[in-house]
Amino acid sequence: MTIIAAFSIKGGVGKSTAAANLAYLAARAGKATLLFDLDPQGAASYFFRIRPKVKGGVEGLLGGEQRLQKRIKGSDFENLDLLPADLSYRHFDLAFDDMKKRRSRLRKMLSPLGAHYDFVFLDCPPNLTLLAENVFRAADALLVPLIPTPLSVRTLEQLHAFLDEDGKGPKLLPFFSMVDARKKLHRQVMDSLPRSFPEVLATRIPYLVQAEWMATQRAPINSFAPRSRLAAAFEELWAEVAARCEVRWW
Amino acid sequence: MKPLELIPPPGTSADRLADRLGALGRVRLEAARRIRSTLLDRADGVLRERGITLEWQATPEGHRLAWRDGPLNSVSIPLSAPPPRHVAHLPEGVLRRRLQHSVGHGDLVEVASVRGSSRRVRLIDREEKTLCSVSVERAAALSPNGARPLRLEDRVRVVPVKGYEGLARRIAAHLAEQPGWKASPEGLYEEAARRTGGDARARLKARISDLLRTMEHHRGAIDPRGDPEELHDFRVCLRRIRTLFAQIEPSTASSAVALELKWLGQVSGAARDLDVQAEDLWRTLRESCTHHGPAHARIEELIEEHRHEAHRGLADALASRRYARLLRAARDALRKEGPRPRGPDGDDAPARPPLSAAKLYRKALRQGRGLGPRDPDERFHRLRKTLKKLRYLLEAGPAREDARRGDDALKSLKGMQTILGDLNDVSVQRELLEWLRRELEGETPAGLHGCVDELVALAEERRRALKTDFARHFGSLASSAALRSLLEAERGSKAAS
Ligand SMILES: Nc1ncnc2c1ncn2[C@@H]1O[C@H](COP(=O)(O)OP(=O)(O)O)[C@@H](O)[C@H]1O
Ligand SMILES: [Mg+2]
Repeated sequence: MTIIAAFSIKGGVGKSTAAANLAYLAARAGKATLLFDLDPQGAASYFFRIRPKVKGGVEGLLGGEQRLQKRIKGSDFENLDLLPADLSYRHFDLAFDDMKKRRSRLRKMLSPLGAHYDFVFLDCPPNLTLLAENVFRAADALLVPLIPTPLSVRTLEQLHAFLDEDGKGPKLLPFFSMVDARKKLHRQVMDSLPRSFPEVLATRIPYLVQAEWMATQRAPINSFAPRSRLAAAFEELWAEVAARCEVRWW
Repeated sequence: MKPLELIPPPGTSADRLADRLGALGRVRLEAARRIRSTLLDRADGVLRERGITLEWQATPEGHRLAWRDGPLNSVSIPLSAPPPRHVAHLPEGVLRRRLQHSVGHGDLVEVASVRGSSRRVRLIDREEKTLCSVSVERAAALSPNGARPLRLEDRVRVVPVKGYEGLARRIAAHLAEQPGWKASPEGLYEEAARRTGGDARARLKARISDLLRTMEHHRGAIDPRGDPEELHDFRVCLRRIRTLFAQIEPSTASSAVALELKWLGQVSGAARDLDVQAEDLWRTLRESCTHHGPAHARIEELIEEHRHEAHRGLADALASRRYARLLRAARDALRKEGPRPRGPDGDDAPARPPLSAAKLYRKALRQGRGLGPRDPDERFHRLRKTLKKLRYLLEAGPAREDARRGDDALKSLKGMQTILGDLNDVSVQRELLEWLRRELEGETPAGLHGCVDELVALAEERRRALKTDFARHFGSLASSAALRSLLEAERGSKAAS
């Protein structure tokens, strides 16, 4: 089981959009996939028409595999399930804080799912809290959308600093998101950033209104507009992410 | 959770069903879809025994392999043609892990196929999220030996969605209470498997006996003066029988049969080789040879004699007690209820490590690197065998995501394989020409030796050309991005574990 977290310290950069689309593409490729919507705002749940409500809230997820399994919902797509968001996820930190090994609770919680899923995608809320630390311990890779501005360089530096301090963190997979190639600033950042951060993925997700369609259609772009430019960009992103995560197809 | 299969009153359409369910909540009626699928199992039917359906489906978007055990537990992967023959050929993932758990690294055989149509009614909530789907399935089953299709009972299948199982149960209970409806103990696929003969092992045996009959039929028509395709067809049957026998458990009886089948392959191969070579030589003589007249006639005469001799050897073998015994033993082995193959639990069967495409590719690179016009044919031949295995493995079907890459990989292989196949033919021909030279020693019709020399020279020229071509093609094989990605994938997975 490979756990990939869509993570950024910033909001509105394209985490949920990426998590929903990549989870869909993984499932379409025949990988049993779970999308875990950790953000109380529930954008990922919304994309799959699933109400952001979990019985018992955060507490309902703790206390064993069976309880967790019962809260997973099937999506309308083959091989893709969802663990919906819940408002109580604002209090993840509190719930974890009380426990032993507070930084590896999420990992422990997810590990029994390995028998059922090839991939778990985590759609994370934008901050650096105890939940984020749990994500870093649990995930094999962090998918980090970067809007190509000088500020995003700073967020990436911060994230690096934080992870380096922690030692054995997940693999970093930053990618440029909401790219407007007509903007000189975007082009400059995209030229220079990979020099200091060679791990930046080659795929760029352009800024396209098609992204808004996902909110009206309430489905991943690749499912209803597979020939759109955005869908093509996500296919490319998925191919690159899968290669970096060493997914074996053969 | 029990399967939720129902038998509706005759003539129940999806529209009627949608109306009925519409009274309970919001519904969406979808367009009808064709069902075209092949059911797979291990030869001893272990999947069916455990209530597992393994279904290779043809969909408008391509082929998929789907696993179902119980209504909720399903997973499917894109998998291109042909249907998988072996668990080890499947891509990594949950489906393969489940299969490995149930049948080990076993072979898969076709049990039955199902053709028909299905139409789905989705029950949705206010957000249009599917909470349950109910489909009307209408189909016929075919057994793999192509007997007449068997009409199956119409079925209504209630498919729960994870997290909303209660609703599915209520819907099924509600439908079962309606007049004329009843719950069904089995689904469409279970019925198909059962009614077409069920046990995959029995099917496999039935197919082998069919093939034995067909082989016998061709045997009667093998004649060096007649249609050379009869021998070819005979050998095709023989090859099929050999592979299928290998799928039956390795009981002593059938492995003895396997050895005898191998013998038959060798005897018939010699005659077939000469049929092919003679054809080829005639063409060369007619089209490229500058010598004419009596030399041609003498060479033809001698080769024909040689060919007839090989056919006589074959005819003797086919009339021999050994052949009769072989047929008897094969039929006995099919009748006998052999010991069951060892299952995955508590088995001492060594798990065959999955064939690795990367490993084969690396081997091919090792074998082919630096090969040039001066190297012996034997080395090319070894490479040919490796590439054959690699090709088989790639054809077994990568995940859809990589179908294009798989196709590219196959394309890079194909050119190479044609060259190596031709090279093999040339080396067989060279042996034949050497034999011819020895036979003709001391004979003196005009131009005879010149003609043989010319044939040899033509073959040599072809051989050189092929080996030179080889070097060029090998470069593209070695640098093929699609094939190299096999190595990267392997390095990746090693690093991961
Ligand atoms: N490539 C894109 N082009 C244009 N708009 C986008 C793109 N990706 C996301 N958006 C829009 O930006 C907003 C934030 O995206 P979202 O994926 O929810 O970000 P996050 O999860 O990081 O907060 C949404 O309204 C979404 O539709
Ligand atoms: Mg979000």
